[in-house]
Amino acid sequence: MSEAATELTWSAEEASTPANEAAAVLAFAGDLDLATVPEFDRVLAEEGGRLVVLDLRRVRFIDSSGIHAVVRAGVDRPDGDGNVQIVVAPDSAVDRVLRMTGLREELHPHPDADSALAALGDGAGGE
Amino acid sequence: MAVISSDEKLAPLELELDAVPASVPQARRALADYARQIGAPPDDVELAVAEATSNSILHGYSSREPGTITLRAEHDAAAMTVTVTDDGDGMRPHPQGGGLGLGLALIGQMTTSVMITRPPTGGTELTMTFPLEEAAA
Repeated sequence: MSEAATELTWSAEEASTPANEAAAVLAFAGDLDLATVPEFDRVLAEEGGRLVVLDLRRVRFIDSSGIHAVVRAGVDRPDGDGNVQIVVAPDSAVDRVLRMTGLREELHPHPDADSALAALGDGAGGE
Repeated sequence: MAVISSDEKLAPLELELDAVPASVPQARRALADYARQIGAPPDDVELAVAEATSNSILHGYSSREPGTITLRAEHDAAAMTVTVTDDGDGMRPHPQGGGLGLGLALIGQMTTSVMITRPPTGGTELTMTFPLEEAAA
């Protein structure tokens, strides 16, 4: 677990997709705004082009800067390469902002890490 | 539920912050706390203030060193008013600025009114209004 130098903390776990491909599950907690986006970007950059699940269920606050960072992470889109999937708690602050921005339908968030892992690599989204 | 009763009035809140990213959480939390005390929707206020201050920081100082952002919050019996003023370059298009252009759209969804003006001294002033929950009920 990273130190809380800012208001964003994270943890990383190794996981496997159902197709037995290695993937990283990055679970973020706290606030994702203009102040903490650089840390988010840095953590993502360390994973390179690996398969990644972004678990945002413990993100308490997110604004458009944070949403933009998630989009930049290469979250799967219908025409994307499927190497990043996101997990969002229903009715959470993140879910709310995704709905308000109209990006929920584009980003296809999953309710849990298992469904996100299953969608990695095959271009399939969540809900 | 508001901390103060509907016939009480909380003193205005004023903050002067450097126009740097670290000021965004400070601004949004302070204004959310103020909203909570007077019965305005704290989540809406927090998000709108984050968007407004981020806009100032990202777009107000592209041609100069970061300046100062001033936030003021006050209320009456029906509404909370938040004014975010910067001493930057003013509103102008930033085609290379990146971003998704969502900030003002989000502010529009969380407020009952938004007004953007250019003060005589330059910069940008954005005024947002939020309903008080008891008044809106």
